[in-house]
Amino acid sequence: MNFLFDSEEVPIQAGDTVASALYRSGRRIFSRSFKYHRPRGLLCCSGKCPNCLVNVDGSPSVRSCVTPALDGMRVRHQNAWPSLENDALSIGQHFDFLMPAGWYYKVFTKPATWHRVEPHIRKAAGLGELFENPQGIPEYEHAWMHAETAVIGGGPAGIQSALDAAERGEQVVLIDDQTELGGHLRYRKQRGADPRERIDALAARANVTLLQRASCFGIYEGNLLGVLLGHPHAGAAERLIHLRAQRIIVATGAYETPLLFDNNDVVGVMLSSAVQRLIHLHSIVPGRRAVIVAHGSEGDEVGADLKQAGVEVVEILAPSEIIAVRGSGEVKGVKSRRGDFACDLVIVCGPRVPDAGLLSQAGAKLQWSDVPGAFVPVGLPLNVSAVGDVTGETPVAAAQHFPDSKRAFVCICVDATSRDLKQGIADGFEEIETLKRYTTATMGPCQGRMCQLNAIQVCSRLTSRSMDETGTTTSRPPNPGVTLGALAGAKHHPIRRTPMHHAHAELGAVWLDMGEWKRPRYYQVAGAGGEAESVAAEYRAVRERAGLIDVGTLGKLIVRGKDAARLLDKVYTSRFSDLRQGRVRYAVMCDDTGVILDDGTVSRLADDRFFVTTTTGNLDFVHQWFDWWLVASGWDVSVTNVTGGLASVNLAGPKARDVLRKLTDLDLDPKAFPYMACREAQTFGVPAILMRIGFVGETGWEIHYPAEHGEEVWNAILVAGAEFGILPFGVEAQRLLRLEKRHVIVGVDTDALTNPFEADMAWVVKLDKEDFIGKAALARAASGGGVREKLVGFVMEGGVPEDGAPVVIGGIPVGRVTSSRYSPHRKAGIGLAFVPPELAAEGAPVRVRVRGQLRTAIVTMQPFYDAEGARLR
Amino acid sequence: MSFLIPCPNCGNRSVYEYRFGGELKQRPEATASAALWHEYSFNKVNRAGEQTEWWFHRAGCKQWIQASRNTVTNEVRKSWIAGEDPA
Amino acid sequence: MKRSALHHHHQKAGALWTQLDGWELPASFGAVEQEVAQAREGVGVADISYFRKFESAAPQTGSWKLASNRHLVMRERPVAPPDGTLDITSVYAALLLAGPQTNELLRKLTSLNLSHFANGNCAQASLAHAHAILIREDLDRLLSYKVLVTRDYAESVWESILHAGREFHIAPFGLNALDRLRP
Repeated sequence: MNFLFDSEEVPIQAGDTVASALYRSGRRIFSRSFKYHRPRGLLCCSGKCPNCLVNVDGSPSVRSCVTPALDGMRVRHQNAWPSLENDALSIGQHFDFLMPAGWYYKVFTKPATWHRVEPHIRKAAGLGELFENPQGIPEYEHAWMHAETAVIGGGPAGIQSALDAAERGEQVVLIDDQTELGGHLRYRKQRGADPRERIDALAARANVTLLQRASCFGIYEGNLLGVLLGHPHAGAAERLIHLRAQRIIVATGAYETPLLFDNNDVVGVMLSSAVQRLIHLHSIVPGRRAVIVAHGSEGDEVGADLKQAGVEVVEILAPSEIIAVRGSGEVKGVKSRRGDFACDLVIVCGPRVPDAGLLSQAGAKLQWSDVPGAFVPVGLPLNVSAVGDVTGETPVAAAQHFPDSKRAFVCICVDATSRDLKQGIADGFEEIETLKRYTTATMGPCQGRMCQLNAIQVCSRLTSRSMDETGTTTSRPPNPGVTLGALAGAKHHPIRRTPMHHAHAELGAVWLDMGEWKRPRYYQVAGAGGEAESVAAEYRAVRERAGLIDVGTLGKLIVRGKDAARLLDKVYTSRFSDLRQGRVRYAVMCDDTGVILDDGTVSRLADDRFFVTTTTGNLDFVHQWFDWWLVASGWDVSVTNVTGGLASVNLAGPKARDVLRKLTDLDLDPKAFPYMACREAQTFGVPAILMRIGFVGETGWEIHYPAEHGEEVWNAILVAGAEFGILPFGVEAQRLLRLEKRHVIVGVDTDALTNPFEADMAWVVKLDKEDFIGKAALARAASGGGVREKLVGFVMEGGVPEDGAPVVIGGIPVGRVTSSRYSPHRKAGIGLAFVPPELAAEGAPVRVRVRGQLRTAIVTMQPFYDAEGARLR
Repeated sequence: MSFLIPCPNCGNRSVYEYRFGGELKQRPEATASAALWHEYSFNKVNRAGEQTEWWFHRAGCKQWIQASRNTVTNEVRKSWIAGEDPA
Repeated sequence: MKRSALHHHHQKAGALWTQLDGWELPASFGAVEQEVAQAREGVGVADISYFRKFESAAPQTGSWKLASNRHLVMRERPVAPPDGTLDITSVYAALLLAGPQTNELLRKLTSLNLSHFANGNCAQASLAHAHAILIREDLDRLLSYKVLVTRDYAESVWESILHAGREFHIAPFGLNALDRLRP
């Protein structure tokens, strides 16, 4: 098993991470730093520093020290050209005097040339590049879990807490980001008994779920944990788990951070816990000669491990004794107050910082405590507790050394040195939050893990304040970072289909997305030209012969009960209690301010049963609106959404009656079945509701029948209509046909402020009706002052404006076009527009912008086609 | 924002399952003045603290409920079927 | 002939058709034994949209409570609508999920708390981005749910179930396998 690093094959041993396999194969330089392109090597081996970032299978900035090495991976270096060993941009180090902290606020300003220089700086800056994944596009998943107790951290404290909770009978989820449980005991054997027995006990319990190789990246409101699981199974790259817990126990432990001295970032300077991991987890001998930098006897533990691994421990220095590391590419030795020592490893026993970020996200405060020498979490909210090293129970290294130097790196992510921080404070940024933002220290990929403590220490000393007065910066999720793919999850978007969906596909439908619905925009018939020709053919079919459109996306409600009519009278602007059985009426509803909410139709099927249609997009709202008004009313009404259960079509055209006659025994004679009537009858042997209404302006029926017969009846109508030249038509043709009839579409020709008087629907407002919603506001609008603009029709004297084009008078925009199309009937551009009330007069000229030019249009208050509605009736 | 709202029918559910229906307000009489109607339609008390409000359980039982929520902490103390007695 | 929303999916999956109560339904997908085994050992999914469904404002015998003023009656075979109910058979597509890994599958599609979902209970939640009614009715000791979504979402939800179920080698099963799985 092996993977490629750049063009080299790297062998993999069981349990290897990408970094351990690379280290074993001899690699020491893993990356180049962000600003100065200094060579960097493994520092923490635990995913908490930026030094091992590489590109894995096209994904940039992957932490190779926590990424399991997989056979066939393609790994590349980043941020170095031409190679990690020789990076042209490392020359930047020699110009560090030009780039102190905050330099980009001070240069290229007089004269202002920043805009010219920025693109070049931007190209040189940035970390990582996105490439196509050679394994194919990764798949991501989400999952939802619930726990009574969630324990974050599978070290000794976490394992014990999980066992205790499990013994109490709780549903427990334990989250650990390592390949095996045990935490620091896996590589710091001296610190406690072998946890294997307790781990086995945990795994054996049915009420415990172990999430391993999973990192908790955030605690959110309501005890919601964000957990990222890599490679949950062969078919998915990552799984994002939303874990809701009643109780959270944070057992994330403490992690080691670096010390400050000159050249503390050179390849070969490693944290003691890092070499312990290399030795105990990967059986790697990290080097030949090591100098340990430690306070008191803290170096003894790693010293013993190194000796056992065959590494010579040359000397143990105190943090105040080391002056600098020698060696520019890799460690050659150290310079100290007790002399120079040659070595190839500098092992740093740094302060162990409680990993309390999650606790502060949960609402805890971080308070400095001199005893452990760390910021410890206090003031935990209810249902969140902390156990183990994260509480600061283990003493951290005492006072360190803080040199003022251009080469003592505080933040290795952004190359901010202690000199840079001193400069920032001198520039006036004395508060830790502003010092952070000015120097960008703690703002790199490690999200402050390696540098926050040192940055606060430096700031505290230089501003002569206590650690508590200096305070900390804010921990924010996600930490560690999460890919956008994982946040997005599976690529499956919900799609709503009508019962005739597949029939449309077979007919060549070109789809339109209306929210989650798919509707045919038009039908592309093979060899028949493009959209314009298809739509024109569909239009002609409806005007001259017959057309069939699927209107199944319309909202459909059954409103039934003794008080059904009462509800409709209350909610709509017109009356429905006087609607006779077998009749249909156009319906408009407004809110308390008189603004139009939706429109549709109401048909009375029986004394206590109505069939209500709404616009496609507003069905949910209308259903909720009805239910809201029924709350505490005591009325006997049930409202049921039957939208998906009914296939719905509009059969329209001069030959529509001829077609329908072949499918039903119902008497279709205009006297037996007049305009605005509805009937329930068998159509093609299927029970249906038929309504004679005319959105598109021709003789026509809206037919609703059970969805399980969707395709069957659709096909039957097309077969029956073949002899008359019937064509299926789509949304685009429908929009044009209805526009010629001047039929308004709510939400297209009305907006969030339009009332019926402005929309030219005064007739639908029955102010003589008993109280209905919006009556007071509409009464006021009717008596003047409530009409800011009016919807009118217009005919262009040339050109066709776009929907939304401005209406202009004397160079000032005074209105806007809501819908506009070329009308084959009028052989001109037509449309609807909002204009000031004084322009709402037959024949008034206005100017409309068409492709950047102003063209003349004439206002009309009449439909553009069949103004008397003779064809409808 | 990811707090939980207890639904009387469905139990504790994420706030994203619901549609917010606004704070509970006294609806004016049909004959009330324009000023009172304006106050009702456009102004909110927007209390910092405990507030009674409407929520529609869109992704669950599809029922209107009312709830008492602390707008500062987002803790929902209790909820009940809209129109029924909160106690 | 009545067709479920998933008719074309079944056709593409190689369904062998049968007729039941006026519905055209998959009897099997070519390997009843395998379908049964997959459901018993992993997770399987069947289309039971032909089940009759009724909505009632008041509780009925054996009804499920959806809201304080809305109750659902489900019957496998045709019956006359109980008094005062509205026939909503056409409105909902219905699926049957069965198998020991059903909960692992469902956790990828819904945030519903499945560990508090006892046998014989009904819950509503979002599933694969669609509103769903879930009724847990184990088949003897085999974990099983009936899932109702409105017909317009059926294909989308079915596809999401099959996609999320790839991890568990999910397979659709037909009426023959369903008969075998029942106690």
